[in-house]
Amino acid sequence: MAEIILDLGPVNSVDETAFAQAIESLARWHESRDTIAARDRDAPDLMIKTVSDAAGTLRKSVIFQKQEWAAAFMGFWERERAVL
Amino acid sequence: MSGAPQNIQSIAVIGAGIIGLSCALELADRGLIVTLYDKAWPPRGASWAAAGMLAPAFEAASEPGIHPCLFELCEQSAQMWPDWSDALEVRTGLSAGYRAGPSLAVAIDKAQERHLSAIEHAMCGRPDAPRACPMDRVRRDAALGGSITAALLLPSDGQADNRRTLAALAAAVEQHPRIIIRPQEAPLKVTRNGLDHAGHDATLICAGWGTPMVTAIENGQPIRLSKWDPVLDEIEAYGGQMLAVAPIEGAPETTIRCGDLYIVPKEDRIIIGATTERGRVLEAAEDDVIAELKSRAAEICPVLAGASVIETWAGVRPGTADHAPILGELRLANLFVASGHYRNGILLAPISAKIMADLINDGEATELARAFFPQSRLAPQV
Repeated sequence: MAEIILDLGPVNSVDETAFAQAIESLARWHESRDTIAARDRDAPDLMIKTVSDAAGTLRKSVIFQKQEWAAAFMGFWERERAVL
Repeated sequence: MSGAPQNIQSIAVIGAGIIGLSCALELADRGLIVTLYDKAWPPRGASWAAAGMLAPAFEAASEPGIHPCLFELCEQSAQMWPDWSDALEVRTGLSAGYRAGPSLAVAIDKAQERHLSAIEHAMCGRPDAPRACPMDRVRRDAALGGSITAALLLPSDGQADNRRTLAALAAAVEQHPRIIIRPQEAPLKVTRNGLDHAGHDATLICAGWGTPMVTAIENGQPIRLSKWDPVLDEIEAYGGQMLAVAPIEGAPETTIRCGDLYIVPKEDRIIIGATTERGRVLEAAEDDVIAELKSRAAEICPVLAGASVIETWAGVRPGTADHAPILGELRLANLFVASGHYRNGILLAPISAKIMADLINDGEATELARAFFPQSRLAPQV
């Protein structure tokens, strides 16, 4: 299964409050969906990692197993960042 | 319950408070593949809400009714803290917020004076033994008020800026190549062959006051794990409320303890706390409680009366009847718990991680660690 990796940027530039809110919004969105997929109670399969890039900068990333979860998270993430 | 754990190469850790983070890091450092489950990320909960007391003497040297080995556990963990926080700072480049002792314990009534005497007696003859403080020095140097009747300097009792500690731990966990963070509930399932540890070899529950509520799916229904091991129900919620005031000239630079009240100076704030409310799951601080805490703090340290409140909050600690954590393997094979740290979660993080990693990775436990095993912790049946 292909992974979808969202690079949120250097660790120091990631607003942790907005990030936490985006994660929470994703979970609420998943719980509220009234679809066959939503009846599978497994939460969106995502991982959080911080990795060093070629220049040695630590970058924060979120890794998804499904495109729809990645797209949904990006929507919440962009909205949270816009609020700031 | 099985004997020494066999060949555990991967583990699900439930709960990303300071205990879950510390255990995840220690286990991954020893080579295990770790998945850390918590619905909230970055971490919050009791570890974020705490005041960061590292206080073996005041919390455990002479408290009635506590576990007989709790002081030794607290003391050993306090000794681990400087190196543990140094290592955390080196690997992340972030401050872990450690500040060595002493703290100053004061009394304003006879009962508190007796408590200070008991601490002094219990630790007599030790290199870090408490020292009585002349009252004129206390009033002059520590800016304390006239209601103080006795004071004891506690060299063993330091503090940590727990929010910094938590941030540094979270960064270390995010960077670790063998740790995966999943902001969701752990999908544990009960099968005919026993517990399916979400695809891992084992599970470690570090879910704080939520530990008794951790579930596994059995026949399509979520069932609490305490059904298989009732020791999990020994962990109760203890709500706590506190506040932070802005730094103010003349405020103490040392942590002050007085009964259940503490005044803890940090770099950018002074924390005043805290209530201990058994069975209360608080979501926010209550105005009247906060006002009383501030008033009591001002009685001890009058300058605080004029300090402006910059934050109020509430948290929920996980506690047991004897205020000691439950550390070890439960009745289901390869299911472990590290929870119930009461007011000592920040202090006990280093030693809890070591005990759990020794047990899970090597199948080893010291005599001290065995004193906190689940099977020895069920409350006596009346």
